[in-house]
Amino acid sequence: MKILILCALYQEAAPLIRKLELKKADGRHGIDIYIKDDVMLGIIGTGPVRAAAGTAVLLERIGSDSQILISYGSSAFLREFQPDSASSYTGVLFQLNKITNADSDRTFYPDMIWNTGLPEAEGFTGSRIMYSTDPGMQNMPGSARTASERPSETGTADVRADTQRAAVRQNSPILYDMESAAIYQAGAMFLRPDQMMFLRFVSDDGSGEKVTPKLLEELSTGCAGEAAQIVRGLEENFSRKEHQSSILCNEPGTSHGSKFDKTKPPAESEQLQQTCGDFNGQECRASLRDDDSPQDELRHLVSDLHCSKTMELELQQYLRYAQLAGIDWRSVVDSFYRTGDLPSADRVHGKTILRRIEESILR
Amino acid sequence: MTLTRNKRFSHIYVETEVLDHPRTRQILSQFPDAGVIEVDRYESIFNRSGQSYQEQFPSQSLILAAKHGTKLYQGAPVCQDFDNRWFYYTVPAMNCLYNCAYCWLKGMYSGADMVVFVNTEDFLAETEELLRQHPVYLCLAYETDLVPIENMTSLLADWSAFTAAHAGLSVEIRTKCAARDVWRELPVCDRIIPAFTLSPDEVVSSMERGTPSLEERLQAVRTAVECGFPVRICYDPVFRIPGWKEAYAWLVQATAEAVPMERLRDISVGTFRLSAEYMRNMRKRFPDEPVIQYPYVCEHGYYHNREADIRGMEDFMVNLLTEYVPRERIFLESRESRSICSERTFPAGRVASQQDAERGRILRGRQ
Ligand code: SF4
Repeated sequence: MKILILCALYQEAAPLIRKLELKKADGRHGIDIYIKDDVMLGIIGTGPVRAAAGTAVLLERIGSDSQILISYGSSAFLREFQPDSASSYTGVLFQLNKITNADSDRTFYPDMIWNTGLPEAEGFTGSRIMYSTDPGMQNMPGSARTASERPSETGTADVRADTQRAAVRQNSPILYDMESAAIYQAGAMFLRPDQMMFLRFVSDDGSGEKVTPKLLEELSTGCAGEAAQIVRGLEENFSRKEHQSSILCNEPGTSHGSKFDKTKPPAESEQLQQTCGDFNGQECRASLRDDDSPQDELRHLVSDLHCSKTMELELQQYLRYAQLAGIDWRSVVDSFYRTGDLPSADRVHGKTILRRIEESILR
Repeated sequence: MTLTRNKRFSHIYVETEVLDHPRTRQILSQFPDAGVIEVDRYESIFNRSGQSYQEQFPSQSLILAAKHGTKLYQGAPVCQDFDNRWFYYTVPAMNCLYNCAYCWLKGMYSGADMVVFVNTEDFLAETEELLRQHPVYLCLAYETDLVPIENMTSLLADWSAFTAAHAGLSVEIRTKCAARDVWRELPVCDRIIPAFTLSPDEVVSSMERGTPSLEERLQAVRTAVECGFPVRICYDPVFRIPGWKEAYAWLVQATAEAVPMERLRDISVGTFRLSAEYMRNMRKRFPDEPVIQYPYVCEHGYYHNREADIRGMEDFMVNLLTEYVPRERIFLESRESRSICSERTFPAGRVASQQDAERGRILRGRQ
């Protein structure tokens, strides 16, 4: 499962479930789950506690397979900060570039590495429904209002900074929800900042108007197409990347992200990093010999050289380097078997052979 | 349909404090389509835990911030860089537009985003203060390459004008950039030292990703020399790649053909070296990078080539170079302990939050 989508309510999720043709699967801990291929959608409930718990449960379930978490749902547009444009934002899907936990005043920054084409907004997450008229809203930590009213070091309001800030803010609406920050915080226990994406459509302007389930589903229906495209785009990217990696990893004897391969564009070789294994063995999918895994080869060699732990680590590093640099270390090792130097008689002799392996690889 | 990645600097994070700084405005005006995100302190984005250099680099973000606290860091007294007793370095920016496989910044920082400190006036004020006490030799491009971002930042223009006006100050600008206009536009001064890192094409294409070719760099060296700058050439780090002797012999020959060697200020030669802590980080983060996975020797907290190999590589380079320049103008990193600023392979253990306190220790640690 590569893509995990999290929604608070079924009404938010339903249009996306339909677009992505997800099928209901076995839920857990009261979380409804929908799945197709590499996409899983979970309905984790409202509020930061349920959001954090649901995020952790699902990421734990998916394990290390998960490539990206997408949080999709509704939010209120904070009219207070943009008095003229509230209504025009209703039904618009935003990507959050900054998320503040309004309770703790901690701010989080998901990496903005994908070009989703969506307008961006700043998000605030609180533990209860708030209205733009609430006194708490006026003093929300980090808000434009409180920041601009904060006296400068000289004791006077910084009018110039306020002007510049206003310009920055104009391009960055502020949205309020009850889950984003919690999802980010729980997600960060499993994922990197580039593996989390927050998509929010505006359902209301925080003025207290009732957002009915029907309205929520209607608004989500208007945005689900864009969200589904993003999901499919990511899915395509991940499978392409995996395909490239597996081609590279399965070519016997080739180096991974080879040192002297001038033809491969850097970005590509960088993307391939971490997908191929090494002589630590756990992730390696490349079979270096038809009948022997790299781990087995290493194990045999370690035993035939009578390696101490230090010698083993050294050997591992030589072979790893040789493999990456495209140096044919097997011929080197085979030559010692042919001359009878391997298996070595004892550790002292093993050390001598290890030095000669080193010389051959590094010469 | 695949999703494309955002372009470099599609997002610019700006500290609230410098939102209205003239240099912020100047930089932002060059990226009218960028998303500008206000941040309280640059550390809250730059020092996030769990970042991925590989994933961030293609969509590298820019962070504009103010540098507080100490801005100039002193090298250890024994470290008389190129015979300059008062060696200092400064960090007007962190991280780089280039993506060298061996760059020590990848061991020090977990992310690829680039920080530019816009409050140059504070850096200059601190330098001025120091100049009242003694002359200063200052390495400018310590955790970045400033030349490729000069059009965007004008940092070098300000530093160069300041240097030209302060007789006690010498600055070194280490670069792999091939931009020639920069050298034509900066004030020529015998205390502004462009220091070009040169590598064989094999190394440029396989390890120094995104950097200009050797030929382009040589043209830039020539331009800087012709403009009248006292140019330093850095064959540092020299790598023991397969066929390294031919590659480096060709490099020196190509340099001599393109550049009037007799007009160079000096030449530095060094091999790869990195603190154990950074090496650990880099080996974990870049498991498929041969230059990082090379079985270096670890001694006294630093990874380096085997002693015999270092000697062999340095002797080889010196033999080649003494055909063109006197021996006393060639500085060897390992034997003479002079070249503090061996670009980016410079070691030490710290994270950005501990930077200021630890910078002094880093330099001392290397002696
Ligand atoms: S080694 Fe120098 S040029 Fe290369 S990425 Fe690092 S700072 Fe930039």
